[in-house]
Amino acid sequence: MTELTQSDVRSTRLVTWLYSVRVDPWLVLGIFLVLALGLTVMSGTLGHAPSMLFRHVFLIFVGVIALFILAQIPEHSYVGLTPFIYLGSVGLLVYVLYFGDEAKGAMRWIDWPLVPRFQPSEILKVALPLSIAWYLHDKPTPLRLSDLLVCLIIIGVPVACVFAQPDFGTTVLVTTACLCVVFLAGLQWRWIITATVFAVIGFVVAWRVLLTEYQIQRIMTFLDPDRNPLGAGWNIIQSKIALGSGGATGKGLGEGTQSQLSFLPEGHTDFMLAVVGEELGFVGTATLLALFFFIFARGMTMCRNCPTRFGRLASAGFLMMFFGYMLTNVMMVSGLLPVVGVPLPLVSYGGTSIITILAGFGVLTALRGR
Amino acid sequence: MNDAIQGGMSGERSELRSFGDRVLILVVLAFLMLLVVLGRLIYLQIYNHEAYQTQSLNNRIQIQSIAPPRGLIFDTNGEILADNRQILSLALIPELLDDVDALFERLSELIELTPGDLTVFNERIRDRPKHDPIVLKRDLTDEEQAKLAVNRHDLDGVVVTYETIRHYLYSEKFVHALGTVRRLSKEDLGSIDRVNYRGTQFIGGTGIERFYETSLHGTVGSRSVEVDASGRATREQPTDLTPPMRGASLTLYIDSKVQLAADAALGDRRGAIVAIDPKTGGILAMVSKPAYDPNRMLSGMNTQELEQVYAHRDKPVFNRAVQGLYAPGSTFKPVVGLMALSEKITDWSEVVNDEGNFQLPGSSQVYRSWNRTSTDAGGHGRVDMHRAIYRSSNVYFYNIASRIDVDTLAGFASHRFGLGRSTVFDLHEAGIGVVPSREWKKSAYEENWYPGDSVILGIGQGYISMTPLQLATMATVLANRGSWVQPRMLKRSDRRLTEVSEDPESLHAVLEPTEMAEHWERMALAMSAVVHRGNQGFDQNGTAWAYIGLDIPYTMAGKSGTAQVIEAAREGEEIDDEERDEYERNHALFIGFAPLQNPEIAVAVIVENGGGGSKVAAPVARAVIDAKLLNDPVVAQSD
Repeated sequence: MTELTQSDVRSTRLVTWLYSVRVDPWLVLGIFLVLALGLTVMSGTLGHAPSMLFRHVFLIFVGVIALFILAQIPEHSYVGLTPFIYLGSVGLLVYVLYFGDEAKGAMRWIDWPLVPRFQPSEILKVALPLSIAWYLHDKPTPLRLSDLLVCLIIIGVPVACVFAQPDFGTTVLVTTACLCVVFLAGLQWRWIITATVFAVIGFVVAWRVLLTEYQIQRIMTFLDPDRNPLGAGWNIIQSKIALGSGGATGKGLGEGTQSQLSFLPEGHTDFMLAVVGEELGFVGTATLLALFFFIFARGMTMCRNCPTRFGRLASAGFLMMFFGYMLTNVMMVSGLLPVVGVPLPLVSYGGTSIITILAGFGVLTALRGR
Repeated sequence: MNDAIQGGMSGERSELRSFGDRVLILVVLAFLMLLVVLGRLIYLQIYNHEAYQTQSLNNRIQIQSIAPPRGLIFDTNGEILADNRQILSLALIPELLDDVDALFERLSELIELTPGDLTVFNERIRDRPKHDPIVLKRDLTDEEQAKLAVNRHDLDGVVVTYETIRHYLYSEKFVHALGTVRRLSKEDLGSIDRVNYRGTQFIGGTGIERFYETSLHGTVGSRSVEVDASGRATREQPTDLTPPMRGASLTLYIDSKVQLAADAALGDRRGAIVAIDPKTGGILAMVSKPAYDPNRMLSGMNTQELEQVYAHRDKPVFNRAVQGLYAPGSTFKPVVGLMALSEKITDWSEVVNDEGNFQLPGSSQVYRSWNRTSTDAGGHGRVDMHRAIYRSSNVYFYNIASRIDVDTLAGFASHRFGLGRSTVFDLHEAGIGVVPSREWKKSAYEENWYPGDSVILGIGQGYISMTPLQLATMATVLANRGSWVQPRMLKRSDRRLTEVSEDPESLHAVLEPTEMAEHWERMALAMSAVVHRGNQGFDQNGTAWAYIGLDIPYTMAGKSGTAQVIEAAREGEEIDDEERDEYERNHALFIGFAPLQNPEIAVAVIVENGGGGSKVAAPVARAVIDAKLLNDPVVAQSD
């Protein structure tokens, strides 16, 4: 009676295996909802270019596979892998400075045969929090000055390469997220205050002395978009009109005149939120932001429950990166920040970004352990 | 030990607590930022909704850029040389096309299209918005336009658009004098102000068009255009936001009459002519042949035709006048002579016995005269400097050159005549050429300077090379009796130009010390004997007299040159020209100026593989000078 049949054994094994698969249902739910919302709106914007839409869906698929695979790797393996990941990404960043492909005046892309074009700076979103966590995970808690300096070097080398591309937005965001990791690792408050004072002084000096004509121009355009309605100001004006005209409930999917009539450039990339706002209204944008915060909060909960200090620091760094990108993009699109060319995570069109973010959540799941 | 472990445990616990606190701080901060952003969205989407709603509805008014008309180019007398014209082009809107190949088939039945057009179109289509019309064929004829209009109903996505393109009134006759514009390419996008070039499709590619690009381009304007539901412009609104500012108009020193005469005089031969006004340095004519039709290149050429132009053996796109490098041959003798006089190596009375051959002491190498025959070594008997110029005695200059210091000669040629450097005021692509020196040979060949190198340098052969523009500059300095002027294209413009910091007419430095004045004057006289000394019997006349001096109505000074093309020139050997392949024959050169006193024009001519300088190049120079000095010039056709 109690004897198990062959098929019972097989199904039991399946169940055991399924139990051993590491997935966080809440996190995955949040990510899938954001992906679904983004794809729904994008299918209207890219309706005339089904090949681009198909490519986007394919890359999401690749990213989701990466998420599940990376989540299964044991957490301690990441500790051993991290130095190689770090050196690999620094190598790619140096490579791209000399041999990269140029797009819109910046050297950001690597175009190798058999691999889709990608931006190595994107890899930093995952690689750099891991690296800082790797260095700090066995260091004593009130942070020593020497450890802090090593961290600054670990951050500084790849970030300098990104800055040289030039990619100002990524530079600031990656640095900020990594500094958050250092903060979480136990940076003393008095150092934080000292650094803040110096940062303020440095900012004033930079503004007065170091900024170039082009950068000032960009900032002035941001402050007063009407100065240059044909140039950089155009995107901001049009994106605000798109958001504002959407109102509370929006014009309906595919009905956004701003995006459909091409008033809004890059509607499928960096300005995707404006399209969401125009077609789905405040309901759409608020839902999207709520989902982002849900993913972030869920991730932070997982992070606090990580069994290792390495896991806690790395996943917190990645989550700060994720949320920072989201905030910066939304502030840029709604006219609170200058146009710095930062994509909206999980939503904007662009292969490397979507794959690295999904991969990052895979790593986060793995670090959580069981 | 136990304490340490306990301390470690409690350290970890406190670390965990501190971590939790700090995470909480970050989460709260993130939440506050989220509230700020949400507040902003409420402000835009709820509070200001109506204002933006109105703006969005009004956004059927689209801001478009208006390309500024490119500045005009005039010749010295105000005759227009380059303007702009509108052409009709056939364009396709990619987002409205189902089957490009089928449509192409259909269009081929109506108008003339080549498969190359489709290839080019498919290249253009990339990286452009799908609602932008992309040009398939330019410059439609009236007939093609009519056929398209009749069949419009079943040609979806096909539009006929206006394009403004550059128009060169003399097409290939002035192409190397003015330079041309070219289509903006992807590579340009990094280096131009993209807003200012919105709506513009051309950028200066060569010559004047390139040097004065910023000024010729002007400033982009913008206007509002009403668009229909599909985003296409319906009719233009009268409300211009900002009108474009047209590019600056440039007046050049180029004199159409002289340029056309030079073009005609060179005919179908390969070569170059540069004429300069010695008083101002203004370039009166600049011809390089073969040339090409820039108007066809901008509007109508298909890929095969373009390939023919670019891959042609004779390089029609190459501007020989400023980039071609040639040995100056005997036209360099006045420079050697003046240098020797200024260094007191010789004087006007020294006599050399020219028996046709020259040998350096202790060397078996024989340097020969140009007028030798198979039975006679040639030579010109007893020659002084004056005679050495008008008879073009090689032996005299071998002798002088063997006694000079090559570095001093290089310095003299560079400082006085601008050789071996680019001196032209406003052309980016001007060649530099070579004035050899010991140091130069060391770095170029890793060899020492040999006495034999100096000997052939004396007759403008060997390592020396210069552009026709430099030859003309050399003639200009000789015409000015040593006074330096900088060669230049631009005479004036209708506004201040960004490319030039000072007034172009204010740069005439005079370097001449007075004790040399007599030498320069006597050199000019010797050069006038080249043209005017005649009826003196066989081998006694100026070398060019028989070809241009018989009926000349004004005084002219000149110097012929024949430059060896093949390697034998290095050895001082000359091979009978008739025997050779066309492309191995000697280049014919001539420099000259006129009138002898108060010269109004200096000119340099090179006819590639033309043969003898006096016979072939001198009549061309004469024709160019005729056009400048005579009211009703007879265009001399030589050969």
